[in-house]
Amino acid sequence: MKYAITLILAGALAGCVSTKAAYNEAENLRETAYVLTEHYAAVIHEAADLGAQPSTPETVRQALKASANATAKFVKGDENAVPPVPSLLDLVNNYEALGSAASREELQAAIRNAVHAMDGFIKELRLAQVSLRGSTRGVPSGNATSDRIMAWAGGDI
Amino acid sequence: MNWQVALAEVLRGMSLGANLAGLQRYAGYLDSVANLIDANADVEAHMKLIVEKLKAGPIMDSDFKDAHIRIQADLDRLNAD
Repeated sequence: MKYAITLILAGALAGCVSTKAAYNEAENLRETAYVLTEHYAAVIHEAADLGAQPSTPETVRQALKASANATAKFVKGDENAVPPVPSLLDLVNNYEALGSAASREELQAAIRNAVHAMDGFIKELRLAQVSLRGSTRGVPSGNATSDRIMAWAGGDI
Repeated sequence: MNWQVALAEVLRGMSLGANLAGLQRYAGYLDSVANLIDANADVEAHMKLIVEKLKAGPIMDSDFKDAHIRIQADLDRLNAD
């Protein structure tokens, strides 16, 4: 099963050399969390640049803000949330200090939450870029990957 | 460890049983991962630097904190009226 999923992901990720390489280079959960954090830093920088353009409609700016803020708490934490949300760094340090299965699962769950939130944020950003530039470059392909996985899973599992 | 194995580690806690709900959650996660890596040129340039950073040595807490400062600055810029 893992081999088939690897093939599917390898096909889906072709052409994104450095981003793929960064995730490839991560050798443990600390480095994976770091790559995610820096990936978010790159995307939020892009969104802030877009938001700063006078030609960006207010509706687009507000959508980017909402999506960016919703994602930020999973990456850098939110001390003001109730209950407070730890950053990926906090959870990395907790896992490294305790080494327990529970702390590992907590970190992995946070990484999954960050991935899902960033997925929505990146889609929002790419749609905004399309609406402003009329380009379809880099627009996510919807659920194509999950559709392929589900079709494959229905046959072999 | 390659990136597929790293992702597999992240996924280890998820239900990978044959039940449909588990498969749908798993498929949804993989779709999210694929979208994350569907990057544009600016993001690609940034991530190229991160590859070099990973190769240069261990990632310290200060590296995360440096990223947090940049993230907050861009969040403030985006949230400014």
